[in-house]
Amino acid sequence: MRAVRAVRAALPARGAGFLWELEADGLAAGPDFFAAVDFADVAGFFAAVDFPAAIGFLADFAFEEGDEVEVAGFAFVSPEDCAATGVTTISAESSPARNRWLARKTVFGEAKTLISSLYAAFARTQGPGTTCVTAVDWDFAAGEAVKSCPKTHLAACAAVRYTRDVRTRCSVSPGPQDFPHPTAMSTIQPIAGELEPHPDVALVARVRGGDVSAYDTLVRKYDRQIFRIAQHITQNREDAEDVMQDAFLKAYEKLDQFQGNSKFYTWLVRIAVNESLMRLRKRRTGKMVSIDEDIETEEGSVPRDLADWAPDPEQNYSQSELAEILRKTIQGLPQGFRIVFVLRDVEGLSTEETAETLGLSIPAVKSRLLRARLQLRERLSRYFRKKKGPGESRNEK
Amino acid sequence: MTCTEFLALLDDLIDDSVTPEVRADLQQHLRGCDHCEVTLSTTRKTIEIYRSHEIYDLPAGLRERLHAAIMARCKKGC
Repeated sequence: MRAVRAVRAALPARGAGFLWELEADGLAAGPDFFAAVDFADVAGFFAAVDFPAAIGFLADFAFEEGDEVEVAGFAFVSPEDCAATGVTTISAESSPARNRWLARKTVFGEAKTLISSLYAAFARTQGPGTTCVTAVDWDFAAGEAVKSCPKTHLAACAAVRYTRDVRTRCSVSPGPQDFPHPTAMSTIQPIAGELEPHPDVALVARVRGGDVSAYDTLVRKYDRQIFRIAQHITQNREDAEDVMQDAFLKAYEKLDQFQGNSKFYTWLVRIAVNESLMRLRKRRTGKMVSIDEDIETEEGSVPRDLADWAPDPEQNYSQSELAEILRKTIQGLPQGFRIVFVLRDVEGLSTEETAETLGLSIPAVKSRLLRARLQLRERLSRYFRKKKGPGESRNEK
Repeated sequence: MTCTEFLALLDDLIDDSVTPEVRADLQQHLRGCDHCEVTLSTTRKTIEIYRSHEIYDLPAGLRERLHAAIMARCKKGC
């Protein structure tokens, strides 16, 4: 409730053509906009006249860990903005079946950068338990509708849909509003006295009190993430299955040792990482395995491949080809880089949480993350770079 | 700003944790350096693509089986 009110308080209104608001049973915005969109199952909608504000809205909305959240981002700019930035139109859509993000348009540069930031900021701020996927059909529909709307300065929208029924958490009533002038995010005032404890705290307390069903809830919240992490480390599906089971069982057994000064999720991840490394060790008949393995490589410290990528390069591959490319590429990273990248960039842990989980210093996490990102980028370049012209193969510079 | 200096701040820029002043410096460097512009945009894309594609999914059937196994053992006290 707190977050919803905060979002609403920050809604800027720079164009009379926009009415943005959030209500309990759905969303309402400019009537033309929403007339074209089926929002029957949309639980949240945010719109902003600029990207930082859109990011702020997302960051400010208190999803609970474990919520599966679908985010649609799309952006439109006014003629004057177009002239200033060279942007024509940007919109985005993704497909629920394939979980893929398709940037649909021609534009990029700053606008694309910003929309990426929106996603990154969202994933980062919502905590590790939140599954952030870009998977909606209605975002494009909404985007098309926006195009036909009278508008002045709409620069970005972000719509959010999530699986948990949050209606009881929203108490904003519908109705026209007089919004304040554009509001810098720093001026958003949190609503006093409503610092809510993390929902896992209550679940953990219930489990400690003997309520096994509460643990069921925790397992369902985090099993996918734990399975993914285990698979990234062990690179073996059977091992990942074992790790997932063992990690949850161990966490259950040791729940009394959970101090509550870290999030339950990061504590669980730490157990899963250790279980994964133990599993690797077992597979290698006792050979020492650590997250420092193979870390000495200097590859990727300085970018060598300067080729730009094709726009939306993933579209040149089928989903199965793409998944294979991504798997093969990340598997080629040294273990110590791969784990940091997975926890930080894929699972959304903060730098501090990643450091705590892996027992590394913050500078070490930062250094590994940079090198992991650069190495992955370089390796993906061989698939995604622009082709130079007819007769040249994909792998030629 | 040199390319090396830019690279040292690349992650902070991507993670949006730079001050406005540093951001302005970085943007100024980008305007004159295709190399760093490409590095930035393709690194961002790399992150985005890994974040948005599920390469190790947990099929529903397997998930339920693992879940049942975990909960059965928890109920027995592990």
